[in-house]
Amino acid sequence: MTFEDKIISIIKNNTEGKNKEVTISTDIRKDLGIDSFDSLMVITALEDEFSISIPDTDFEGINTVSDIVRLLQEKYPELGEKDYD
Amino acid sequence: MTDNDFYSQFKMDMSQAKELGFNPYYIEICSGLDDPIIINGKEYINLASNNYLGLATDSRVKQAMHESLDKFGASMCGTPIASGYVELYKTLCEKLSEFSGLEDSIIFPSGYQANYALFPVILGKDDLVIVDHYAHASLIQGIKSIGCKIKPFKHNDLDHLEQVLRRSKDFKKIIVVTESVFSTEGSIAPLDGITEICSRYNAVPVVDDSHGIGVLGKTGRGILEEKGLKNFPGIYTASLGKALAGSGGVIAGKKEFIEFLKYSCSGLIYSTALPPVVLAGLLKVIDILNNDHEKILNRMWDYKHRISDALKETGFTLSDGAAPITSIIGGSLENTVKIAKALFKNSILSTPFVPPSVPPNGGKVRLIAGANLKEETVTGIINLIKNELKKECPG
Repeated sequence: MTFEDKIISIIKNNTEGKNKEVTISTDIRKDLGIDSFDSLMVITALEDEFSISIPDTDFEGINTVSDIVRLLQEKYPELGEKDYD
Repeated sequence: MTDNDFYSQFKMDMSQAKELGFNPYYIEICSGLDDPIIINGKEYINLASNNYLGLATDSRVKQAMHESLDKFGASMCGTPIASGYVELYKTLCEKLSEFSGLEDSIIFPSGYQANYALFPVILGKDDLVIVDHYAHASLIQGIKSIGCKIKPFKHNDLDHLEQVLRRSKDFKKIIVVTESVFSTEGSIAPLDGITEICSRYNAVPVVDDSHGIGVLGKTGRGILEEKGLKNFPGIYTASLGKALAGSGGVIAGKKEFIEFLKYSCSGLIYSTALPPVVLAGLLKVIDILNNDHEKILNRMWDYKHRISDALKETGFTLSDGAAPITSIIGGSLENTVKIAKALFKNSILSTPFVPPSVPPNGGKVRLIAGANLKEETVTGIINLIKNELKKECPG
């Protein structure tokens, strides 16, 4: 599983998007209806999965799954180089 | 910016209500919560209020309130720390502590205010709040006002709560926040499990029992009775404007902690205390519950089960909540409002929940049958569900 797929899986498992199609270009707010409180659920899951710390403010400009991938790769480049189960 | 420019930013878009031909909100009720209630001069069955026990128009409660009005007048015109600390306030605190099974309590002007005011007193920026994903807006807003780290856990999911706690280190304090009854679907929190997990991770549980007090447990004492929790180590909050048929909110817990709040909680200190007439009504409700809970609670549960069964038999999908709330899953906003509109057309007032108060396509129509409804009213509701409602909302 790629880094992108892992993030998609985390989003699906931690939001109401479980039964929806989520792709790299999915807008988490418009397409999945994630509000600022729901996004904390995603942040918590990402922090737990990758053992990292994400300030809530980092998520303020996030719209798409691709934005999340870019944010994490910029802050933690090593995450994008691994294979995931 | 001109006045016009300023106010033009704050116009409510009502086009959706116009398109749907029904606005289910701010419906003007011209009676007390009797059976029936009166709207626009017409009789309606009320399934929209949180009047679970049906005590809002009970003659004994009204009598106690009349007597209090004669004795104390309209208001004490002061905050609880000053002249608002009328003898009824002190007595109600004692009765609520005894009722909920906690050492001490204080009373706020509303449940929302109790929740909102609590967190700034007990938390700082270096602390962590772990909160059920479905928790009420008052809890979330109160927590967000601190600026501390917030981690939601999946709704009523003890494994996920423990997972989040296990991975949460380096915080000064950790509190875990939940509601007893989640009011849109009627699910009940596993507070016994939450409390046990908290004890293992040195976290303090906070529970909002707004929809549980007066309702849950064998004698209606709420979530702590329901889950057999004696010596609850956490903080307990509740609205007094639902089953207890008054207004206000309570925070209860350990005696020293409540004493601390009495002198340090700005939401309490700077707000005018509830008027004596409200306190007197609440005291009478507790008195009635202490002596007459069995009959009232049996009727409330009987009504809930019969209405839920009729809806299920007719093909409606319900949330599987165990509280005395019947919640029809409407899905889209349009379908949710359609169900509420069909009920209203047939003289039943319900509460539809549509986004953003629920997730997208997570619309629900909530029905609460108070114990004051007459037997023939409930029979009428069941007939209506099986006939008219089925025809108008075929699924």
